[in-house]
Amino acid sequence: MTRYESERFYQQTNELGGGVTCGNTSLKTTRDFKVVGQQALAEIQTATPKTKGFYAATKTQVDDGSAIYAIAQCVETATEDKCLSCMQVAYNNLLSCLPNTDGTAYDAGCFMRYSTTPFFAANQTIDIGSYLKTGTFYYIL
Amino acid sequence: MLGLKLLALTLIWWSCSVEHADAATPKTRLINTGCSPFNASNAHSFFANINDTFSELRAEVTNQTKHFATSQKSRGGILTYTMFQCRNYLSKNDCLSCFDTASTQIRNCSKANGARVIYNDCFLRYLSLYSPNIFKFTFIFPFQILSM
Repeated sequence: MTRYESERFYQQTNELGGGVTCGNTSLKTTRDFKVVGQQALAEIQTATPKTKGFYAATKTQVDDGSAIYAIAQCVETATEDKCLSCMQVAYNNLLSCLPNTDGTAYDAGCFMRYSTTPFFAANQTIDIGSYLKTGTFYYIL
Repeated sequence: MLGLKLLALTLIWWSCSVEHADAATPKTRLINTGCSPFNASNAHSFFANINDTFSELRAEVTNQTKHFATSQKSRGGILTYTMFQCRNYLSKNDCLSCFDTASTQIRNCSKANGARVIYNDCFLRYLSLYSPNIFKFTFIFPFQILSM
């Protein structure tokens, strides 16, 4: 009898009240940083719903010597489709933060964050390369 | 009918506030918090459910080193769903510490029948419903429920 409400609570991913918080520091080398940042976020958005635990963490090197640390996570009760749609909203929200040095997007069922300051250890990154391929093609976003 | 409307409103409409200041613990930062504008109809059962489910969530992190946990309890016609998740890069102790921060913070919503707190390192949500209304409604108008 309570399946309807229960699913609504546990599987819900996007809702009003989700949003984004951007850091207020911007890097001087904005162009390259912005391009690389966008690519890193696009990849983590695509890969996360395909991972087993709906979680990914990456470190992406920028030519100017800085690096972008990013994580994305969905609630484990979500479906792959709902995780992806939540990731898409989070990704679009985070684009508004670039080229600032950090940003956080949150929603009922997912979370995405990037920063030039490491917030997880180097050995905690997850190789998402295999999730980005479809046949012999890469997603081009 | 009213119960269902309240449920729908609770799910989509939260009174939100965003805080940019550092949270009480130096380790994690409060990003967003929201309390439902509706109070639980039976405070005694509600608080008992919250205490029980929070204990279960904490136990899952402690005993099973889980980064994600859900718990639900039903008591006195009040059904309470809770969900906790911390980021996978956290150690068990850091995850527990974030849980403790979040479960303290979310109690500021007092009797609100739904709430969430989101930190950089974790989040905690709950929703509490007065179930007899919903049973009745589901029984009488099943198709309307399904078509929503």
